[in-house]
Amino acid sequence: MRLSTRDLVYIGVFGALWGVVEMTFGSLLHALNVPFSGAVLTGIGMTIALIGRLFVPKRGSVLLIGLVSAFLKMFSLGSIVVNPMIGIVTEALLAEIALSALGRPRRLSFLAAAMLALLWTFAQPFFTSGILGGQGLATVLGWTLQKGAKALGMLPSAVAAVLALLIGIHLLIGAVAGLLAWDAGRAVRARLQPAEKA
Amino acid sequence: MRDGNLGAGSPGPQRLLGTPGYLACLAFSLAASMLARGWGVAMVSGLSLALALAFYPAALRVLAKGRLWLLVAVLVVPASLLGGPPAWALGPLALSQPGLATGLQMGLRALAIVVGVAGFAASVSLSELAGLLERVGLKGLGFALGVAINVLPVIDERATTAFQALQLRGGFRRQRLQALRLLLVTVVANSLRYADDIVSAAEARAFSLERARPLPVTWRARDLALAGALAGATLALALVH
Repeated sequence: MRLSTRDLVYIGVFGALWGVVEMTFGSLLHALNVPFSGAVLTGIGMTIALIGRLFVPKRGSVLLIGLVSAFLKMFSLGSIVVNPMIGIVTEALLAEIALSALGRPRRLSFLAAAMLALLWTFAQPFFTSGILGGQGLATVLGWTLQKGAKALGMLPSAVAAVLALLIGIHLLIGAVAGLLAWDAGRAVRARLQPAEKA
Repeated sequence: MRDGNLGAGSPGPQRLLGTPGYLACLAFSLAASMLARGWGVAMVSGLSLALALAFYPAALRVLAKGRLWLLVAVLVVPASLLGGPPAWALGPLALSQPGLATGLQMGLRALAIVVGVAGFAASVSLSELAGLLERVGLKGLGFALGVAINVLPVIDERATTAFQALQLRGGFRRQRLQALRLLLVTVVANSLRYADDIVSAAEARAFSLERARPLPVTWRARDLALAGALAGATLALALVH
């Protein structure tokens, strides 16, 4: 992967954009305790990172955008940033794997990348609290079901339905993020093109 | 959001360690808290707090945040209630001894990690981190991080201007989703225009990443000794378990 100065400047700018969203909008969503705030935040971050892929169509660019954003998040004025950092880097890595596996940027690859990244948002507590934190997967599953059932207005006993809906909502947010990134990225390109031609 | 806000500490004579020293402390807090088992976690947590007290006391401010103690409570309380056969009664609640021990150990582990990360963030500026990344061979990442630090205030300002312009023109009264998409496109396009200015300026100065001098990294004499001692402690923990 050989990146030009322009590529690196673009990566820095897209990383900063994701970082700004995490530091401002992210704090607001968490403070308001909005349901699925993590997924919405990942969706916005993924949209920005995937637009970045359109402008730096090289392997590793989304991962680098994620790393820049994670460092910015680490140094933001928030207090506990370990989990979001793990989240940002893993989501960027998963999106990068999907994009690299599916070849040049396409609508389908954007869709797959964002959906895979959003799946991690759902799975992260199982990894961080369940495995790294030593709480056990069953305990985390219990919390997830309880929190999810409350947000969806369902009974936690409907395990399969709650889980399916939670996964479905995350995938839906991912799909919207992927399609929006493709559409908005092309719109940005169209907007910049007259300036580039001039 | 300027660099000063993002990384409170900047290189100066008041710092007791150089950037590598702070990096060693962070690596120790992360690695040792993952490796320690049982009540060994209490020792690691105590060492992390002692490091913070000695070298980056600003990190201890994190202990005054309610969110940290909420996190610790989330780790301790469910484990104490559901972590095994009940041993004590606390009013209507039955507490489990092994559950409480596991919960406390998880809480101590979280404390060590949070203090370590907060200490690094409070002591090392982002520019120094970019310099460090450049020196360890991650030139591209260091440069991109440097660009990100510098464009943050510009992006913030331009995003606010775009949002206010859209709002003043009634953009969010109807078709809110369409307005949000428009805001995204405007902010990204404006940021890329600014990025092009940076690229033009770099090219005008014949800038080349390969020939660029890495950003300076501050060293202190005690960095190496401290890094060695912490590496030894981590190794001992790994061998014990």
